[in-house]
Amino acid sequence: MLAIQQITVQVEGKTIIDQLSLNIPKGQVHVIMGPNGSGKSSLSKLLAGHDAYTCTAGSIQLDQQDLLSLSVEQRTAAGLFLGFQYPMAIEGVSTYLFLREMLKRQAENQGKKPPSPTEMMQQIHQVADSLQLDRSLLKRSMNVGFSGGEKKRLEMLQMLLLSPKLTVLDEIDSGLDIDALNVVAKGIAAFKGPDHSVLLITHYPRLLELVKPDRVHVLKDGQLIKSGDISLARTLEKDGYQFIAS
Amino acid sequence: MIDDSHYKGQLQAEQHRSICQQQLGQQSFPKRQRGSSWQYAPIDRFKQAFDLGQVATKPVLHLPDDWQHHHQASDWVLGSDNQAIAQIQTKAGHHDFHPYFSLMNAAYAKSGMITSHAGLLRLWHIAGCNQLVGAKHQIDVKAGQSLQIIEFFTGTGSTHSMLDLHVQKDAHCTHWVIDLSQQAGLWRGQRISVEKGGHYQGHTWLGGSELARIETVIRLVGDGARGAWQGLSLPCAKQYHDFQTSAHHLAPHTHSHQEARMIADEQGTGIFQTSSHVHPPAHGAVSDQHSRHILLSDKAHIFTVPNLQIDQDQVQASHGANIGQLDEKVIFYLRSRGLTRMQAIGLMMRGFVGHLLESVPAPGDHQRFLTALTLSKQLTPIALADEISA
Repeated sequence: MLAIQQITVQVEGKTIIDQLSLNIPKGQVHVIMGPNGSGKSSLSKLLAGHDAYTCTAGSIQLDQQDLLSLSVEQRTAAGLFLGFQYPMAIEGVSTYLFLREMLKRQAENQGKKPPSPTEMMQQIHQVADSLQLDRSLLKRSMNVGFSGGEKKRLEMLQMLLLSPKLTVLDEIDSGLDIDALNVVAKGIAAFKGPDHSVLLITHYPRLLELVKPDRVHVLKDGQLIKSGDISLARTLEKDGYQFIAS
Repeated sequence: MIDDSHYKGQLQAEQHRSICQQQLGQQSFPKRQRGSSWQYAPIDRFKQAFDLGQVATKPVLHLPDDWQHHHQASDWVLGSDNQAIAQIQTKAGHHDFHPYFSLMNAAYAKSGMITSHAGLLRLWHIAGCNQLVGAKHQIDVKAGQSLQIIEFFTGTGSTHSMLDLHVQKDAHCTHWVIDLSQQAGLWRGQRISVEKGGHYQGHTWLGGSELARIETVIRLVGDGARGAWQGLSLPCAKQYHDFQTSAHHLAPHTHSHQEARMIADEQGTGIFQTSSHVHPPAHGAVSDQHSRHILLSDKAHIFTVPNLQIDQDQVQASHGANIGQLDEKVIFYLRSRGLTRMQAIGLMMRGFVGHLLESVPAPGDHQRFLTALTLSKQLTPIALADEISA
């Protein structure tokens, strides 16, 4: 599914990821943990195509498609979804309007006829209900005045509506209370399947106990320094990143 | 911009006006606009000719300089170019303008009209090619009544118009001025006075005019009177759009709100000069001014100048202004959801004016407002008409 080969990434001439390789097979959930400033969020933005990040070496393929040659929106059309740590607020654009535009663009990119407004509304309601997202939020301006939990649920809603091949969730669990964390975990669990892969970026093992990932990787100073199963995350919570360094 | 063809156009308009007056005369209408013949024109004749339904009970018209008309929602056309009027009728899907309206407009609109209305009033200002249309009208919103006014400016000529609006005690008026034109020039002066407990809410949207100035003066003359004005402009190419607004607090406990949003692209220029003057009797007044603008080009300009003059101690007054560019983080977010850069910008523009769009009064007018919006090259036409309501 996702094959990252020996990439080096720079921002304004400074190397922030150095010769990193990572493979995520179809249907698997992988996790990247690491201290602040280790390059986790940079990796997620590079995958999504942010133009501030330049890949100076290596390759990234999603289902044998060269991601680095694609624009941001082309990567989305190719099946990549990035769930943001800090989702953007857009005043004056109702969440309905935004979601509808998103679904229309997806249908266009797939060469399909866009669903009718009624069909889209039904689809949005169905998924929103499964995430226990208050429907009244959908009428409000996108993410304006939303709580942290509501914003993250909305990210999950978008993920489930787009049904991407690969989802990258950047600290989706930050700022969530226990109930919201459970909802997000259920969303990821429901999304997992033979055709969907997930890359979770997080600081906390709490979510991992609910999601049950296949692999856990530790990123430090732009390099993957250790990989293992969920027990690695438990050890990190107990002993910290000093444990790895030692 | 004005050449020989302009004067030829004016001459043709005068000839056309004369013909229309003669045609009205054949219908037993008075041929001359001024003078005693209008004072004693039986209103039944109007009722029959225009099929007005419920007409005011006054037996004769009492406005010798102009004509007066009482009825519910209707469209009035101000302009001297029947061809342009026919075009806008077709475009707007309004095939039901009564022919007499065109005749009367062509015959008498030059010197303006005085109306007294309740409900909804739509006015179309239509300027034909190389023509200059001047219109002055006065509208009184009677005590306790409510009126919505929607004025559309369209055509390819220039318009010079003046409005005197009087919102009487406890009356409410919502007023839209919408520039749908490809006009050479649009100048609009509007003087609004609001009496005790009255409420005026004005909206001005500038679209296609090359050179436009809207001057708005709101006088809050009665205790508790409220006046609010919102302006939206999208100057691009070499358009020059100028909002000049002022609010005068002349009585206690009056409220004013003045707000403008502009999006300037290419070599467009936008100006928002606003002032609030709280006069000595206006204790307890509340006044605020807001302006938010976006520059999409290095060559575009926006000037925003707030002014406050306070001659009373017990007031709340504030102003705020910011001019910025589009947030690249938001554009990236939207692109990561499959929108192209231009689609993302279009959606953001839609959001920037969203709260103004939401107050559009009639569903049938949505498309016209959006037409005005999409005159700006940066705006993708994201349809409002099929907005889902849960």
